Amino acid sequence: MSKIVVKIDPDIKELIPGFLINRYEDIKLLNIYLEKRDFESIVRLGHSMKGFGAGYGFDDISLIGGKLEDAAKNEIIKEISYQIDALKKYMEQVEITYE
Amino acid sequence: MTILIIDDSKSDRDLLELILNKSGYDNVVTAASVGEGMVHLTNDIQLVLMDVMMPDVDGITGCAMIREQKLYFDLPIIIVTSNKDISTLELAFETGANDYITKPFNKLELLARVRVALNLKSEIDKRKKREQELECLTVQLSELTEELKEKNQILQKLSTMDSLTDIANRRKFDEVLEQTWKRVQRNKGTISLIMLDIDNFKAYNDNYGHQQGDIVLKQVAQAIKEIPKRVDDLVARYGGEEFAIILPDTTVEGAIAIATLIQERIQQLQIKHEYSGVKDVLTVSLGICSFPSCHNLTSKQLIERADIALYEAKKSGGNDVYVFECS
Repeated sequence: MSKIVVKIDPDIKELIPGFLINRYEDIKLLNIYLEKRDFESIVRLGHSMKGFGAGYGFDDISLIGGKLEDAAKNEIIKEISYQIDALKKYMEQVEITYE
Repeated sequence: MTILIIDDSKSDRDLLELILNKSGYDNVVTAASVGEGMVHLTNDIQLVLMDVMMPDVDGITGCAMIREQKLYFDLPIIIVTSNKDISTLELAFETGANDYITKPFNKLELLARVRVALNLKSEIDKRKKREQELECLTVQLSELTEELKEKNQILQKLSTMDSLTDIANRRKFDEVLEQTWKRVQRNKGTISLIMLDIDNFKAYNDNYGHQQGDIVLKQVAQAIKEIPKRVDDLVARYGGEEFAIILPDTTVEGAIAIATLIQERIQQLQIKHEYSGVKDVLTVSLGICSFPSCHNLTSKQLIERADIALYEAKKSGGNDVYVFECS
């Protein structure tokens, strides 16, 4: 599998391990919400991801978050499921350098 | 100096807090909801960073809740939002937000806006403190002015009262006569002046002593003061055992009536004066001069003529009222 290299501000290095763990938690939550058809919670979580992703340096997380928010607003289950998968893949491929 | 972050996303809170900490803002408090944020809201908080989209209570309502409290009317609130739509921002500003940053935020932009907001708050606080100091000074000043006014009134009274008899002194007499005289001249009105002297007071002092003499002067002064009833009438101690009474808007007949009343009242005091030569009790003589009964006078001449009348009353044996007859 190819790697996605992300450059992160060394100032926030200490936050990154926790940040990554929280995203795996988010994937679990998103799956639960989707199962329950709790679109409102997906909108909120997607919205949050959109907000902080790029702030940490993970621009793709912001993009995926935005798409999740839109899909959940319109209750498009297939798209939500696709974006959860995209996030999962991204988390597996991401490689961090601090500079 | 504390900054309060209200955001439901832990990743957002962590990132904001760390950036602020690394930039020297050591006191940062975080809250996951508006409700929790309100618990942390104290006087120490100098700035609030508020997320918009939060479960239960959103950031716009949070803004309004802070502004509802008078204490936090000037507390800067920066909205941190990924909703870039104008209506959200409009609503935020309407409810009292001071500024906004869109997420994902640029670190430098965040710090610049935080710095501006904190500077503003510190200036507002300084100005408020100065205002309070000024208010305090104004109150003190008006209290001092009031005190000074009271003291001036006391001084004024002291400088116009005769300390022994507690009636107007010579200085007050001169002042009032001058004013009244001018008014009478202007209005072509009337004025009467009575000069009064205790009969053979030297003999009284010589035989009963000066202390007893002073007591009698007080008694006589108080008795005279009781007779003229109008507010503009003035009874003054003219000097020694001599008194003067200014009676504005009083004709010679009115003055005679008052002088006669005084003459009788003093006799009624029944102050023993065995060395008087007039009676065995203390008596007084009174001289009157009235204007315009006597016309073409100066105020000084009015006094002189009342004095001449007084002298005539004394010469005739005392305990009498004389009017200066104008030719």
